[in-house]
Amino acid sequence: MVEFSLDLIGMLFGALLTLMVFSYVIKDNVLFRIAMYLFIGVASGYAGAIAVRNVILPALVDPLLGSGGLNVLGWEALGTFLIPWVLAILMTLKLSPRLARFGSLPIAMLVGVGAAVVVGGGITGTLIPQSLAAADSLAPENIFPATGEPLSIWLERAVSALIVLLATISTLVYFRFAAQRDLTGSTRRSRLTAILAYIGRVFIAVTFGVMYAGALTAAILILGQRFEFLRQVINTLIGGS
Amino acid sequence: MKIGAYMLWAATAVGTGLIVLLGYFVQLDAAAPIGLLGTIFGLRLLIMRWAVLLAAVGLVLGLVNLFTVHWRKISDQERGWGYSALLILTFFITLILGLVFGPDSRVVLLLFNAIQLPVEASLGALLAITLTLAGFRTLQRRRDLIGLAFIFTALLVLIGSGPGIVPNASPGFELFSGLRNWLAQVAAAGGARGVLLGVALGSILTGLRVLLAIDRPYGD
Amino acid sequence: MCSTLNPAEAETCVSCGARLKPLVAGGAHPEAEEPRFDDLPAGGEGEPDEPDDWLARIRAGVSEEPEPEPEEPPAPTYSETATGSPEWLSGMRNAEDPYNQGGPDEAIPEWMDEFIAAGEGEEPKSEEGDDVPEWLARVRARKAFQPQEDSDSGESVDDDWLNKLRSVPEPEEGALEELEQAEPGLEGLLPREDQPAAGEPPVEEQILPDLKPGAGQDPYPTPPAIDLGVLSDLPGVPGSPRALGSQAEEQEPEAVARRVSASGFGIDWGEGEGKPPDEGVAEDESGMPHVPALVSDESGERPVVEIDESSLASIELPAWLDNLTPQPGVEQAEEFEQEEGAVEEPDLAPATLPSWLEAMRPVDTFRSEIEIVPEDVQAVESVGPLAGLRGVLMAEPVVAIPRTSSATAARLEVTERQYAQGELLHRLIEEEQRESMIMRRPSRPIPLARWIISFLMLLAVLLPPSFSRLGLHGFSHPVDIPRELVPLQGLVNSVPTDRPALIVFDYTPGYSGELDNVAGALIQHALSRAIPLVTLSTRPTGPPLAERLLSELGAPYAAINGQAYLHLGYLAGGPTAVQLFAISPRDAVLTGFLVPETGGEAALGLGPQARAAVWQHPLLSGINRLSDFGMVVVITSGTETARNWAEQTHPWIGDSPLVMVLTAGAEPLVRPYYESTTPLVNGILTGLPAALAYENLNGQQSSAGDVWNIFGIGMLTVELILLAGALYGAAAWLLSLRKR
Repeated sequence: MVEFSLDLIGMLFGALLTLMVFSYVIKDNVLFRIAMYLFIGVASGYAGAIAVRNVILPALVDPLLGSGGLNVLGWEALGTFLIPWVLAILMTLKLSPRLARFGSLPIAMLVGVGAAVVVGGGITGTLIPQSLAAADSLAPENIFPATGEPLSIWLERAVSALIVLLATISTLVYFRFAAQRDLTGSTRRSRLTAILAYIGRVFIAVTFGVMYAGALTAAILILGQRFEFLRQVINTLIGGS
Repeated sequence: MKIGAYMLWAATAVGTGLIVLLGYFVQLDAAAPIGLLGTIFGLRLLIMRWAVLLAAVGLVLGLVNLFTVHWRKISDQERGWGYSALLILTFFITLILGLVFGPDSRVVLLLFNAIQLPVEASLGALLAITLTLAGFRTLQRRRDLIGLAFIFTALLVLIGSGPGIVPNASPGFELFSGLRNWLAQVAAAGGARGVLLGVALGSILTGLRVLLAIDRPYGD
Repeated sequence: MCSTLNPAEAETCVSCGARLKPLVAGGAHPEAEEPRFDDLPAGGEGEPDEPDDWLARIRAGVSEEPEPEPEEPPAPTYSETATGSPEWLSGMRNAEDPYNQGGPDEAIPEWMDEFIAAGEGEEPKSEEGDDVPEWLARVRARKAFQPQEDSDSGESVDDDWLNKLRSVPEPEEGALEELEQAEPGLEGLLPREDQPAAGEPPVEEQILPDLKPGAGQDPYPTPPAIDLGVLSDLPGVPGSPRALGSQAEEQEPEAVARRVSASGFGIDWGEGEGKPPDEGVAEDESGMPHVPALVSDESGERPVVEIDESSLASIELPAWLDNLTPQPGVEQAEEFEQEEGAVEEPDLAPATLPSWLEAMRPVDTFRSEIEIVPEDVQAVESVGPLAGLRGVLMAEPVVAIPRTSSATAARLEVTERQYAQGELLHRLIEEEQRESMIMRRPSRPIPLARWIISFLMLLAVLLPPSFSRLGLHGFSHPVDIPRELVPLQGLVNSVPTDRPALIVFDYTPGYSGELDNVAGALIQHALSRAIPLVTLSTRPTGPPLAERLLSELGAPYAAINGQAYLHLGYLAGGPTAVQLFAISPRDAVLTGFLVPETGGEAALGLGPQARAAVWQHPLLSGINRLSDFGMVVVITSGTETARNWAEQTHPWIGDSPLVMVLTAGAEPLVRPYYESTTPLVNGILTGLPAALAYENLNGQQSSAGDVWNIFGIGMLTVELILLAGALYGAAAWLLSLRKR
């Protein structure tokens, strides 16, 4: 006898939705669309609830309701309470076409902070380290064999380093789309740039091939997990466990 | 808005951005800095807290816009308005339950596990069929060296990754495994590094244009 | 005529002066009775309607004794000028129609004195000090030089001006004949070289028979003389030769040719007796022909106006008449003349228009098909400036009655531009009428390839549970251990157990099927070492996924929420939030998720204490920076998230290792952070094979092994499909190359 608990009901509903989504394999249909809109509604509602409960309320309301309260007139409240309230209200004015311009202040601040984070992280986290890593490919300890190192291993290491360097440079050259205008008026790259760019395209294709294989591997596993889930539901219904 | 307001927005973006950017290049010790640097550090933290709060407010505003769009669809009785009605219904049920009982309540988690998780996982599973079909048609639609390199690299990585055409215990699997490792860790790594550098350069340039008020996506 | 309202008793309009009441002989009101020309008094009877109506006075002077005109010079005795003075002028005076009742009221102009004196054979009286017009002086002077000539010609000196008319230079050769052919009515008006035949009355008399003074009674009232000018030649205009010609159907051609507008000559100078026009050429006592002003004969009889051609021979004609050339109407006129000549009966053909008038006719005008009734039955216009005239065109029949267009009216003259525009319009209208083709939806091809691939893959994943029944062994586990797994194992083994490890669940529920299995190997290792775990997520769906996985994996290790692990919840803000969390986690996360000290389930309503309790949990004691965590593990399906964590945390992570648990597809773009001189990522675990190998390395039994067969059969199916597609594509490519 199957005990219909909430978890079982949830599992059955999940299995039903899984089958409705898989019906898309045949073609787009009403069942698939119902499952999609149901999913979007729940996902958006959940996201809103967690944003309000975990971020907005603690930042804007809890200071007033907290133990001891908050002196809203104090300097501490200015930065932690008043200004956030003002910024939040100004941002909500973006919903009104007439008052949307007043919401430009918080948006400007968001944009400025986001740009700074991207610039700072890009320079310190990617540009410098990766450039140093590419330069270290030609370090003597990488190029020259170590003491007692077999030749095959040294060759493999050296060739790999050179290939990585070549792939890095050729890929960067490919993303450079500047060209010169020749006498006929047409624009084209120089011969060396064109050759390097083509090599970079090949390395990019190899990279994307590896990424594609990885994504396919993950998808296969997910597909298997879904059917495993369906099998478990069936077993539960049959077995009553 | 006139020129005055526009300059205020630009000044806000540039000012806050420069203060946040300063923290990336000035290494601070574990101890809280004092003096001007301490003030700037404190201001930097305050600004980022405001940004985190505003990001959550922005998410809520996005949900309001989602509701508005679908409500208009229902009001105008557009094609497919029934789906929009279903969306709004489930949206409000989940939101109200989440606000009242909390997003970590059992009811809300049940909705998550019964609806959102299965549907999203099933969509990921459909991805396997889609990717396989795309791989099957690659050489039919792109018959050049690039397509050839792409599909054969994928095949080699798949064969060398796990069980398949060549079983793990077979002698040939070591060859394909080594080939797979070389492709992923040497050839693809070089290309990936170039891609990462290119992406980083583009992001840095875009960010600098914003910090220099050349681009003003925040409007007037 | 100007639509101005006037009093009932007004005779003329107060604004434009048009006559409101028709002129009736004897002053009879037109409203009382339509005047009948028979009833009209003879010229001279009745008092004129207006005291200053000079015409009435002329008429009166015919029948009554001439009223003394104290200011007027003695009236010329035209009787004395019977041989010398112009006979037509005498006839004007002696017109019988009532309208010719005398000369103007005012004094006879002095310029007339010349003629009067010429008729009397005397010099015109010229008073001393009189202001003689210059032109008159010239005439007199000229006359003084030509008295002998006149006397030699045998004509009276008084006929000086008349002689001048006679001596009008002959028109161009052939012009006269052309003009006659064009206008039969002008035949008698044109000066001729030949003098009238013997026995025939002078030209003047032939042309202007009615101008002779006739009986004073003139049953045909003549309206005031109107200078019609050019209009005199237009059809329908009373008195025009054409009108006369069209009306005189019963007249003999010759009589018609000799007709002349009586309007211009129907001036009765008050002398002579007028005769009815139908009595033939009426002559006054001086012998002037009488031409009635109006040709109106209600009795059906037409006045026969005899015109003295001789008197007209000397008429100086305008120069434009000399330039007349034969027009198409001339042919009609010739035919008309022939017909006229052939037909004895007075069946007159319609007169033709002169060529210059014919040229003025609009091309597409309608030709009225309304028959113009004979003049004698035409009504007399009673109002307006044309009051009293016959043959006035009525507006109503012309405007209101629709007329049919002639054949020539349908012919349009179209320019090329108009033709092109018309064609364009026609084309546009045709396109509107053309039925639009129904655009059929392109039929969707059957996705046969997708169905086949889907069937094969579904069949593959459903097969593994039946391996045992089919006698198949499952896929063997991987033997090779990736080189990054050993360092990873070492890292996890080196994490202190007194410091929690931060596990970041930054993947979507869609990847939970893979990453739950991959991350499970690492989490199990950490749980096996009793490392406290703190979860965090930059996605809203991260916390429930974390709870789901940890509750499942922690069960064998008796790890429960609040003791072995804790959830920090949702971190909003993307890279900015990661940077903030790295600097100050307590400022970035204000509340937790499913914090057990609040009861496991959040209390109803808002609870700041509950929300703030997460940082008060013992597991998070001493955690002020990111580097305070023993290890940071980021489980993600996207390269962007991995890159953000690597870029934003490296300045603040200190010595704590950063480990990335990735999906197989994200590995290539994260590995450069791992394989660099100063790596930002200290450990990497990617894909199910690596996870299975890691479990084997640690000697653990996890869920990865349960799905290995499904994974294997799926991989096999996909590899075979891709291989088939690659071979098919290559074969097609080679075949296409061979065809070329």
